[in-house]
Amino acid sequence: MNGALQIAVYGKGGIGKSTVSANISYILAGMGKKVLQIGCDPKHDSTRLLLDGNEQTTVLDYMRKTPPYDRHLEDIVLNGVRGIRCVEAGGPEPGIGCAGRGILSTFETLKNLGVEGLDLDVKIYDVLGDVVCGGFAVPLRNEYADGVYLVTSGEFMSVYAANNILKGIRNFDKGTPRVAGIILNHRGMENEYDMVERFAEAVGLPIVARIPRSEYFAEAESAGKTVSELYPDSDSAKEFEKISSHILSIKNGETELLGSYPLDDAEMGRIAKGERVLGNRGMPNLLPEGCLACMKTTTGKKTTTKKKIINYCAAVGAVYGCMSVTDAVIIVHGPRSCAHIMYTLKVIAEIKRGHGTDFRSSNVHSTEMDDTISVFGGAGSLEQKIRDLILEGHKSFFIVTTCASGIIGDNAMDVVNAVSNEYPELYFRIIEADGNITGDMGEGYIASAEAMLDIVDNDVISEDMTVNTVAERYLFRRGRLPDKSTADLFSELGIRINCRFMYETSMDSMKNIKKGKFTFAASDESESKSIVRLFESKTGLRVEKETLPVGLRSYKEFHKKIGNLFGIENKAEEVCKQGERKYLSEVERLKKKLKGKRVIIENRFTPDMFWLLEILSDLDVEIVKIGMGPRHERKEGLDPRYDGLGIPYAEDYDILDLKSDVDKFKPDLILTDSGLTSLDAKIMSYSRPDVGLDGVLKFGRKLANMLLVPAVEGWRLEE
Amino acid sequence: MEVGGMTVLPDGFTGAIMAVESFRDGRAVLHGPGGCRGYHSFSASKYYSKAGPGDYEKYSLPFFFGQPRIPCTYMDEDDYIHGSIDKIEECLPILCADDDVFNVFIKSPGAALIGDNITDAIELAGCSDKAMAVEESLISEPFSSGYDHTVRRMIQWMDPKKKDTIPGTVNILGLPITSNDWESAFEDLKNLLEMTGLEVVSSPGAGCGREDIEKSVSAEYNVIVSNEYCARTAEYYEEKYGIPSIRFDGGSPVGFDATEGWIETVASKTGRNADRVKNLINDRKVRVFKRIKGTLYTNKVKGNDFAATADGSVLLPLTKWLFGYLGMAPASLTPNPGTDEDTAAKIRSFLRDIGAENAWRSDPLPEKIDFVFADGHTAEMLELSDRCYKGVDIGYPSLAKIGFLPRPIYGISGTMYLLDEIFGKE
Repeated sequence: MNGALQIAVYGKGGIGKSTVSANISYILAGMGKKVLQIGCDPKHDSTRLLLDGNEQTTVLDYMRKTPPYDRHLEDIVLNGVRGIRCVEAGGPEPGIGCAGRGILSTFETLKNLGVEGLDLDVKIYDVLGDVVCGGFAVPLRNEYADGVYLVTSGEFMSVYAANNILKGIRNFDKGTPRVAGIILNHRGMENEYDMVERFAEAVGLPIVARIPRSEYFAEAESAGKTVSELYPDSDSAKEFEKISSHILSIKNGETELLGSYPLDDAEMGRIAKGERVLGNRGMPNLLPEGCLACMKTTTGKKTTTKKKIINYCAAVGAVYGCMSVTDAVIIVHGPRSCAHIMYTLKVIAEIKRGHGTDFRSSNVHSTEMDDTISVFGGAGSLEQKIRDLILEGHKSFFIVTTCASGIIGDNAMDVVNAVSNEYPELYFRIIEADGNITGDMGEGYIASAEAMLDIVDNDVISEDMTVNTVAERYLFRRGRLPDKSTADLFSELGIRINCRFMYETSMDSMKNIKKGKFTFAASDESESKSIVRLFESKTGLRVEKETLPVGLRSYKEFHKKIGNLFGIENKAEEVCKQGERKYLSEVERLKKKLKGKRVIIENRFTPDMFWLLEILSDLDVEIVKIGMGPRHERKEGLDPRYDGLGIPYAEDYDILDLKSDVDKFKPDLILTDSGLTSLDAKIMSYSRPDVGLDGVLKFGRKLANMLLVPAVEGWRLEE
Repeated sequence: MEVGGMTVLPDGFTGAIMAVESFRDGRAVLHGPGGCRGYHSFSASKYYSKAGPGDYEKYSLPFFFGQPRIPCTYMDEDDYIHGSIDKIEECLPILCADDDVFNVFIKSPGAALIGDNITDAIELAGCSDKAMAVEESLISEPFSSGYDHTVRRMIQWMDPKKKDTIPGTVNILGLPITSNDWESAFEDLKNLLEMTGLEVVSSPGAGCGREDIEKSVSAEYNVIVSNEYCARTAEYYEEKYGIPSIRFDGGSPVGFDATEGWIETVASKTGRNADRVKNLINDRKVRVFKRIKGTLYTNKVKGNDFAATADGSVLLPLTKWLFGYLGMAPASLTPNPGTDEDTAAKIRSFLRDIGAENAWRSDPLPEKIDFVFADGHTAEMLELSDRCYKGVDIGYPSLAKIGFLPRPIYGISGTMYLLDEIFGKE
């Protein structure tokens, strides 16, 4: 074998891998070989016996302290006894961070610093006891370990762990045999050899060496040396010589590596009982897919071809929800990219809103988790960020976790609780969205509502002629119209909006939300309904059944309702009639252009399209087909309000169905909410208009224009 | 300029994606959750549109779902626990069926933690000539570093074979597609170089294709625009192919003075003559002189203050030009992450020389400042919220608007754009 032979030493924690690795390195170096030993365990005690009992700076600590351009290989590769090169990966403290990520980063760093340029005969990777995640399996990757030794004792659990490691090797197998053999490290139990021998036979592996239990190990450990150095004539040292010779015979091509044929649970059970097992040598890989640590099988792998796609994550939804509060700070606990994306989309919305916008409402901060923080944990950076913002004078904080902080298991809750105990006058809420781990954008949005409603003061009394609104979502409907339309709806009646919850509000408004005498929801789509339920349960306020009106009929119902609620029936009727006159007048004008026109409606995302059917009907436009697209969230069939209208509709309506219907019906226009543009027909997109009548009238005007203008604009003709 | 600490800049992860998308035939493939896709698809599409007819139908495929840019493996909770290599295996045949592109997998922040070995999966699928993976995590690194690192990795993967050097040829490095109207900037700078008699072979990181990289190794020199975006790439070209880099010590070609200095440096190092370019610059300066002098605006901007936040290579020449050419006073300067120490030192030294050292990273901003030069969003937001009289868009991101007139910041046309923005302020 040309180049350095790479050997990985795996085994259960505490089985003696580091001791075995160090002794092998010592012997090989004594045979004149140039050796590199890499400790891949956060405990970083692999190379101690080669460095006279001293510890060395770990790669991960080095990375934490040293900027990338200042890093040098010689700072982390130390020369030990007999010139053995020593590296320790290091890692986080137990229970925090992501050690697996640490191993990944270690290997990347070593590669970047040119470890492959070292003149070596053998590389030995001494790896953490159980292959628990992708990071610790890095040495098993084909570009690293050529061969793997399994260290085990006669204790069943160590044999079980060895079997698990064979499964791990199997996952990386490309058909090339990579197992060198088993090293038995005796514990001094009865029938120890028998257990291991039966296992070795079953999996088709040789027991390369049997290291006797000996006091020499403890003495050597105390001296900071290997047994092979301190007691070179001992039986233990001779076993290490056997292993070293075995390694060299592999390198010289005299000994072959073997395939990985792990046993299943039933077979392992028989081994435990003292039985002989035939094993699966040569059988196809029948391993169930699953977590290597616990061997639980997955219930069914989600693939993008078959299962639901999560388009946006709960973290985004949570941040958007919290962004509706103009005087709170949002801390995104994760990499800067997450906060950047969320912040940017909000800023774009604000820019399109135009003058009068308040930059301060885009108050998003990031804890800027980087690779190093991912390894060592981000609690410290989160705490620092919170404290820095407190010093700047901020009073209200929403903390949202991303998938990065979720995966490494950062306990953000503890950090936030600790700081909030110091500052009881400040408002802290944490939303543990963990990116998309807890769900999609809607779920995060609802979680943010819950976090905000904790501030509500239940002792506040309602004031007359005030209302609250709930779950108007402006972020993707940009412009001054959404601001204005809801405000006008109430101001025309002399009613003040106390709090526009989940649209744009302040901490104080939310706290005093009970000043609003009545509360209206923006719509009855499923997410709004969830927020309404939450709102009612947390505040004790009742949300009116009628939602904010879009279109004439709901506008009239709304005014009737509000007149009754506030005892301003006459005023409400007068305003309503004024609106209705304006609406009808405009509709009459538009009808002249639109009467008799025929449309197909494609609906993928819009749960409530009654307003659309109403305006089309008022304009005498014929709807020849409604197609509910494959990604439509509600698969309940057509809304009963318009089910009886006799309009043909189809579910799971895709582009081919649409094309076919275009050929069949030859509509004047296709109305779609999917952003579709490329068809041989006139296409117009739609989305739920702003509250009131102006929005639907604007839609009607655009509809008339769309039927007037060419189906394909000139600029689209360019290839 | 910290703008109250509110501006959240993009990081190396976004830089990596945009670097891949900067290749004409490059396709970034996001290995991560869908939430990371939308913004990047939109951004890549806006900055370097590769739209074609029938895209929606053509890309109505798994992993694309109708959107041609930046297909995604849509990782979810299960994938974080069990790994997601099966999705890689599933998407590879779909991605590699397209002969016109090469694919580069970029891991999202979450995916980077779980250790999926994409490189192995690519090799196993027999797609190593059509796909590669950037396995390193670039989260929270400077945007420019991520961009540079990824361009370099792609070139390493392409591994162009060394060819004979063609005299009088150059590559343009360090022009990111996220700079304002990079296409106009490229045309402008290419034109300037050609006026000295040099031929531009390729522009790695700015609209070139894989076949251009094959040609790039025959260039005589690499001409650097913004060093933050190409330091490692330039180093690679130097070490592997012996192609030296030409850098102007005054930073990027922003403003008349730095543009002239830049082309003079290139001409001097390549043994060419920059007189034609200098004449052109003089001609433009005369035009500017006449325009300003012939109006009521002669004293319009002198004495105005400005804040600026940008990459150091832009901040240095911009500050000097605004001060020296227009008589504007720096009130606050903030370099973007990724700015090298040397450039930062030069900026600070200049500020000391003019008695404005307090402007360095000063925060918060004065009550209402005259001009802000920043990424498009920050510039617009500060103007809309009345914290400055005029916000001038000089960087990424700038996604809220669409433009058709040339609006680069580099070169002669870049200077004219800046003048237009400054004098357009009411």
